[in-house]
Amino acid sequence: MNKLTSIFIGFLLVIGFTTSSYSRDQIKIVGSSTVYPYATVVAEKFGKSGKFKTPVIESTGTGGGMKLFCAGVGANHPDITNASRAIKPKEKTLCEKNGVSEIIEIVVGNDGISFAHAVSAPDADFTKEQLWRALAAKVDVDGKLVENPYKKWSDIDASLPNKKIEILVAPPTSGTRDAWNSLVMVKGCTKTAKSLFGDKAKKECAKIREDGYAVEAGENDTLIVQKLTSNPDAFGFFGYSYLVANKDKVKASSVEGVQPSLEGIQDYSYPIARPLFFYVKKAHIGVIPGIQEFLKEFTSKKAMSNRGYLAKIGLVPLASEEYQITRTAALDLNTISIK
Amino acid sequence: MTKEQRLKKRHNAEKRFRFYGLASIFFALLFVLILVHNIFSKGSSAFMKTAINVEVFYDKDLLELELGASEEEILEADFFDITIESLLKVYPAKNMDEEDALIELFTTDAEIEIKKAFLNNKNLIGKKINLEITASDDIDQLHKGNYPRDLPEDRRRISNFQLEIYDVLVENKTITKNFNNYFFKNGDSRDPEIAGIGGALVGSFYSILICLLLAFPVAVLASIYLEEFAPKNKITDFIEININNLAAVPSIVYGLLALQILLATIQLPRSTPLVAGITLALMTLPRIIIPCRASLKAVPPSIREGALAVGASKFQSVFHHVVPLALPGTLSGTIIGLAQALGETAPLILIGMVAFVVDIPSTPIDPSSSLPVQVYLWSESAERGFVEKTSATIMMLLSFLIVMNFLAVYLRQKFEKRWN
Amino acid sequence: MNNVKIKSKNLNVYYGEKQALFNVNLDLNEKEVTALIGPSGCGKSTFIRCINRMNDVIDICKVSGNIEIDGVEINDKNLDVVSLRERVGMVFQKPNPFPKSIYDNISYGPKIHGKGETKSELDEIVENSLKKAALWEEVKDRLDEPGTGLSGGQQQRLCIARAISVNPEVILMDEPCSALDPIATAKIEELIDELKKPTL
Repeated sequence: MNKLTSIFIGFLLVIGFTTSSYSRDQIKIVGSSTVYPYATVVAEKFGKSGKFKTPVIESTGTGGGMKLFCAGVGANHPDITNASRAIKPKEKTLCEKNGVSEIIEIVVGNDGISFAHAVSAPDADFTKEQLWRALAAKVDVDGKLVENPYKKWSDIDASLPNKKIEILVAPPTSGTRDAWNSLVMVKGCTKTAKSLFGDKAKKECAKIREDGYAVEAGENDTLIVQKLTSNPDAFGFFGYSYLVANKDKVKASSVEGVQPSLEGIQDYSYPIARPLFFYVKKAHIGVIPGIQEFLKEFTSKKAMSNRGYLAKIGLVPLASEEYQITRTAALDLNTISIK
Repeated sequence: MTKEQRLKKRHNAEKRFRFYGLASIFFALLFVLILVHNIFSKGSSAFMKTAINVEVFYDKDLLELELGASEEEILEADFFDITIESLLKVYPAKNMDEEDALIELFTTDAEIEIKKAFLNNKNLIGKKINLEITASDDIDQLHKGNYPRDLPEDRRRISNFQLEIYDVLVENKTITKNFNNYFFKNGDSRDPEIAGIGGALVGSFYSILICLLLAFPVAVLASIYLEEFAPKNKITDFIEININNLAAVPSIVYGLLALQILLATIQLPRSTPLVAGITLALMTLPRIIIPCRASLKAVPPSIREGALAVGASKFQSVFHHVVPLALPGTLSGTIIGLAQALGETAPLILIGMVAFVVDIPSTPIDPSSSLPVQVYLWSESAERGFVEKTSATIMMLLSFLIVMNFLAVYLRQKFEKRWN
Repeated sequence: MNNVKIKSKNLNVYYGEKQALFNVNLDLNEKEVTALIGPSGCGKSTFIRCINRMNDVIDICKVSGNIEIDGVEINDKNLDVVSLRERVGMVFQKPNPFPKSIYDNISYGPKIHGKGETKSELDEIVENSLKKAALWEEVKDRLDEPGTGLSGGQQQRLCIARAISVNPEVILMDEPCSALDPIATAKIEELIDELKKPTL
């Protein structure tokens, strides 16, 4: 018995000892699941090429990442957070409150959301308004707000196919859905509807119908691709990288007459495109080894340019002027204002 | 109703019941079969990897190495040039684009493979050797028949030129399928062809070990005390009810608890098997205590009385007679509890185990992933190669669970002693 | 006339609200076999379980009154119940050998009381106890086999041997033959008669 107790106490002591002297020699990254695939590729290359350990990357979502990132300075807090949108003022305040006062913003590239369906289905073209009308919970008909009455695409516009509306949507927690809401639902919302919605126009426009024509799919984009393949009438939206990786199974429909393409997303001529970011805690540079080198690797031409390895897996590279700004920020460690 | 009719009715009722029972077993088996078939048909190919036979010439001048170079010198040396040279010899490429397409047939780790082969045999300098270089994910999937080649070129990730090379390689039999040791040895990777569950295995092992070390002694001592020594009163009743409730608490709640206490308050490092182990131990404790107490309860009181009657103390009667008899049940309860912990994902998500970890953890306080988390991570990846990897990881996880459950049954049967 | 060994004065036993024994006053003599006879449920077992305080195990059982062994009050809180049970052995209604070997069944008592320091001393105790219980001839070649593998009558004699092994002053037997056939019963009755004789 005594032996057992002493082993147990020894074990607790070991835990206490090892963790009290805990320091980190490995970069920790949290944040957006949209940036995750790109960050992991850079991290892996970085780990293989140099003297540093491979950074650990956790996919927590943009909001969750910001919360962790802004929680404080020290080995227990992450060094970098990925974001599929710019940092919000609220998050800046949180950061400042917890002593994270110097943040470097790096624009990684652009991401386009493709509205896609199975390869076997006929090509399609939609306007944002049509997409909004197909998805919104409430739409305006003859100047009045009504519950979405459209059952077939042809109900919205006679030029659209005479087929049942069936759209797989990403869950509200995903960054893709956020981007879709702000780029499609709010922009596609008609003026009449907006004025009828009044103060809550943004929220009301983004509300998605719940009468079975829009089906909520899981966070898992691979699953959406599978479902689209098996049902040629269904549409779904997901990041451009999934379209590139699965172009034998799914194809994108044009939005406002534009097919999603590298160039189109880069210059935002494809209408559903957004920039991606990551944020670096300046206070950790020099404390956690390798952060500066990681920034260099991430912003190198080898990674970020048109022919870089990130482009190959679907990241849409920055236009050259923006690239210069990002590269300078990464090399000179320029911080952004958090006031 | 006559007696015969009533008898017939009773027999019919029994027949119906048997039929329902059989039917439900049949359905259950059918679903298990569909599940297993689905996983196996997708996952079994992940245990093989496609490799292309390449003649590598360790050119002295390109490597800038002399015979008898030290290990450090070799590690520092640049193998990029000889890698490109060797890969390009596989097929005549006419221009830069074609050369790029050719190099894309191989894994991004080709250089590292060529370096490793050299490290294993340092006398290769200035010599030629045939190496099996791992093929890229796309070629791997194509060779395994998972990738359609009859689509128009712009819908394929593999170009016509690459298909042409592939066909020649198949004809020359220089493309082969080998056992995929990377799958067991390597950590996670963004390239499916070199991604493995090595890191996840080690992470799971550490987590379960810590879980066992914490949960087993605490659970066993707690259940012995509660069952044998504690007075039966309102307090112990209250504790008992709470243990039963805790066993039914969804595992994610333990994740939240760990997030608050272990990570936020005690400041243990995130994403580590240490935290995972403690969290899983908390979750597993009530799940071990319950079978432990049940097996203690199952020991007949006559054994305790027999021991007491010859003058054994309470402690002696419990530890000499009751505990050894309850041990098989206790052990199998523990193993089943651990098996549940092994397959647990939800609490691990909250403590940051859902992370991309390439380096294989060497201690329980290194960041790490675990088997079920690896399944979750890969199932979200866009690359097609991860589909088979996901299923193969599920196969590994399932086989561990089956082994553990068999062990539990075996222990119970082997050491179970009969008593009157 | 033998001396009084066990003296019970105004003994009352309650199981919760229910009273099982009412003012039992009884003297039991040394070197005698005393049998308690009565209809089932009249409190025979309850009474003898008081003598080695086996009723302590039952939570709801309350005992009042006195029992003295050799003039010493055994219901005293300060009395060590472990040493009491060493002096007062017990055999139960249903044979309850430990699920261990025959040898371990017998040697367990002496071992925990520090009797039989060496292997040979233990061997002797085991042999003597089995001989006294008239089981030696039947099991001497299979002492390693589990005690639970014996027949019902043999198991009960094994339990008697186990009780004898610590050399108790009193042996309590709670209907030891109720689960046995007439032949086994006869053997045990014979044995009980043997045991009352003073040991040399």
